[in-house]
Amino acid sequence: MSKVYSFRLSDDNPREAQAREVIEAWVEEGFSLRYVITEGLLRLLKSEVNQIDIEQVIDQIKSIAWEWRDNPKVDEKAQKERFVLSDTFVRGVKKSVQSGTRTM
Amino acid sequence: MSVLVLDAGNSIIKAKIARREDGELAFPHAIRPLTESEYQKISSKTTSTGNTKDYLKVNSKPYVIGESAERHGLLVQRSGTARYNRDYYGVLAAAAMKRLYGRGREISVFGSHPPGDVKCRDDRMQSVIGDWQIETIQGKANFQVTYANTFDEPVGGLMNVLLTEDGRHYQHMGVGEGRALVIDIGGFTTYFLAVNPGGVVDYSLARSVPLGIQSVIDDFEESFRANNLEAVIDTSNLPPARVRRAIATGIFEGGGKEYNCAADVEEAIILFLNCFADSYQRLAGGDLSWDTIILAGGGSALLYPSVKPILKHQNVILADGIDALHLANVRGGLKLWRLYEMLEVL
Repeated sequence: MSKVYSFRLSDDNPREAQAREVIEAWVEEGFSLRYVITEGLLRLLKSEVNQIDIEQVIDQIKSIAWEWRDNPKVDEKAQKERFVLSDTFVRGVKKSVQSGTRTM
Repeated sequence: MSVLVLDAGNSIIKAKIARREDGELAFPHAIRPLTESEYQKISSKTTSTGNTKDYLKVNSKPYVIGESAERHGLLVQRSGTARYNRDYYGVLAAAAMKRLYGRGREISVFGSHPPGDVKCRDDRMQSVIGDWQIETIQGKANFQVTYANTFDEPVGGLMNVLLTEDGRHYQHMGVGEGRALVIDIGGFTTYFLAVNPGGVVDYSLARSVPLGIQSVIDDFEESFRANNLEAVIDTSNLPPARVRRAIATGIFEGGGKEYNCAADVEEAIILFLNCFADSYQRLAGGDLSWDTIILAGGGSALLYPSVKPILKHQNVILADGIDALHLANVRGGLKLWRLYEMLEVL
């Protein structure tokens, strides 16, 4: 069983905008959004925070993300590199793309 | 813009959109034009439950598709390139749009094609591009297909194993680290596609053989008829849905009786396996050339227990769960679409 959670992070809210930057930076580094959110929530649970709201969650994710950035572990770095699409693969995909058809 | 990924196989039509719930469908490849009076008669007497979604009007022309079409007597099922026009492939695509989206909208269609049909890509894309007015008992909807493109069927299966849902990362490094072979067993054809380390498709080994689940169905029917002459004497065509169930279970249900047909199924599968083993050795070179074998296609799901021992390979993986193997190509097609979007190559 799985459940979908969705919410928006707005540019109008400086905290949410900053959270977006952090998420995007880490997604770009190879972490999936699901991984980042899950990791953040589990750490939140460990810190025994009972009153959870979305801003707290974002704060927690931010702090974890910055912690990762400042102190990257060797295995995490290797993990990231392992799952990033190789240049050879991307070149192969680009080469194999065929032209599509559009309506006029 | 929304994208509909379509795999109009010879046996089953599969489609997927980017929605987690009710975002996928599969129905038997069967289509039959109806007369206006037939359509009116059926639509006036049915409620919006059951298989009424099989009855539809596409650009004002009435059709019945899927399981309901199979029950409408003798079908002319087009295979290969003969189906790539708006009145056939287009109607099947339109039915998939209406079922998955419900309400009309502007969409793209990303359709898979057998590697051998690459020369008919333009016909396939022209079959779906443009406006579609679709009417079912549930209501009317207008769709505009403003972009169409295609991908190789076995590549869909590969991408489903290789990529994460967003198409941006590897999810299965076992495949990426060695040389893999994708075997896609479809309705009429089995494809062999080589994949180099890193997931790069090696088109120099992209071969197909005219061998699929349909040959098992045909051989089963022949054997079943020979062994049950009295039962089939008044039946020119065995109902396809019952035949599929019989092959999966070894029991044919019909006429209020159950026929144990396990021996007929076994005989039909053995004939298939002999040809499959020969093709695997001849075209793909057997087990030793590959680090991983990926099985895809609806035929692989039905025949997996029989095919796996033939391969004798220690690392055989399915392109999806056994119950969803027939959907692997469209799921992988959506991942490939996401990757194309990221690379901005569409």
